[in-house]
Parts: sequence; structure tokens; C-alpha cells
Amino acid sequence: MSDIGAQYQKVQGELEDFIMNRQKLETQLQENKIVVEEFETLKAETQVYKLTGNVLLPVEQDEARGNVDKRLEFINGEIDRCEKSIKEKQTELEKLRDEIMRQNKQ
Amino acid sequence: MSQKIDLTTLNPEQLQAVKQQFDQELNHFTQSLQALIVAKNKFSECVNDVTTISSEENKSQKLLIPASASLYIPGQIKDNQMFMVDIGTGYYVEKNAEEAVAFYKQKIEKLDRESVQIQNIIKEKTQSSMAIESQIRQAAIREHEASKKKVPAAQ
Repeated sequence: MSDIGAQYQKVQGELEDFIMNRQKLETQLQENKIVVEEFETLKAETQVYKLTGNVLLPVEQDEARGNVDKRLEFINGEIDRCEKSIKEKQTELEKLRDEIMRQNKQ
Repeated sequence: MSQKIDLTTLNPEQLQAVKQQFDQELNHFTQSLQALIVAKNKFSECVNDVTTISSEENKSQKLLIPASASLYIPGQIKDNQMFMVDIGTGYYVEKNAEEAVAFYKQKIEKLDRESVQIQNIIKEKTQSSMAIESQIRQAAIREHEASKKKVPAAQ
């Protein structure tokens, strides 16, 4: 009984970790989206800089755009992966819950 | 939370649980609203800074640039119409004073819109929370009266 209870708690903890991760990814996604929007409004001659460590390095607009697009792609992939893990953990939790209920009834 | 639950069908323990959940959500939204207000103030400061620095009397203004927390280097503003604006994720863009102010004002407007949304949610949640509270009270009264009736019957 305590065994399955401990397992339930463990899975619940893992689920919470995934949900936190998902929220972090969402924040990153929104920030990158804002950057893309801002790039759209730039004039062709506007100089873009990237903060690398503590230095601002000039970058080409195309390069910056490519970078952010790639990052968006990556983040979206991570979100998909994370959502899948969340769903898996949720079904696992449900199964465990049913199991506990059954044991309690006996 | 789109599903509707008839509060009168819940027992006091369930009502407590629902209320707790609502209060938690309420807390979360209040915190979000606070964060939005903090961010908005930061952007407003930026607008003020840009307007101050780009004003005529600050042309070629001398200033001290912090090289570390306790070391300053004398400097001079070379161009008080150009600003480096952080647009997020480590990218910076050169903007003139007008564009920079427009950028920040746009951000502030966006935050304002979102604040209104959150305020509406908070209002709704507060009302729901109060409704649940009154249900809890009524449930308690019902229970109290039920137990009062029981006592004389037992005597």
C-alpha cells in the first residue's frame, strides 16, 4: 500500500516538473515571438546587435532572423515533447489512482 | 474553468476544497497583475529616460560611466538621439529617440490591455470566491440546525 502511495507521489512530482518546464518554454516562446515581431518592423539599414557574454556584437539582420526562427522551431519541438510527457504522466497517475482506490476498498 | 458546478449539491468539505482552489487561482492572478505593473513601470521609466537624454540641453552632456560598482570613467554623450533598445532574448536594436519612445509606449499599451484582462478575471474570481464562502456558511447553518433537532430527539 505505502509502496504504491510512494510511487504515486513520485509520479506526481515528475508531472509537476514537466508542467514547470512547460511554463518556462511558454515564456521563452512568447519572448522569441515578440523579438520576431520586432524584427518585422525594422528598417533595412537598422543595425542589430546580439548580447554575447558581456559584449554587444553586431549581427546581420538575416542572420539574427534565422537564429530566432531556428530557436522558435526548437522551442516548439520542446513544447510538443513536454506536452507528450505531461499526457503520459497524467495517464500514469490516473492508473495509480485507480489502483489505490481499489486497494482502499478491499 | 468553464464547467459549472451546482454549489448547493456539495458538502462543506468539498466547498472548502473548491474555495481553496479559487483562492489559489486568485493569488496567482494577483501576482501576475503585480508583475505586469512592475514591468509597466520599468517601461515608463525608459520613456522618461529617453525623453530626458534626447532633450536639447543634454546634447554632448558629460557623464560618468560606471566601469565597475565603485569605478567611474568620465565620458560624453556623442549622439543623444540614438539609443540601443533591448528587444528581448539578447538582441539589441539601434533606434532614434522617437522610435525608442514609440517602442516603449507600444509595450506599455500592450501591458495595459493585459492588465485589464487580468483585472476582469480577478473580479470574476473574487465574486465566485465570495459566493462559495456564503454557500459554506449556509451549509454550516444547515448542519448546525440539523444537529440541534437531533439533540432533543435523543433526550
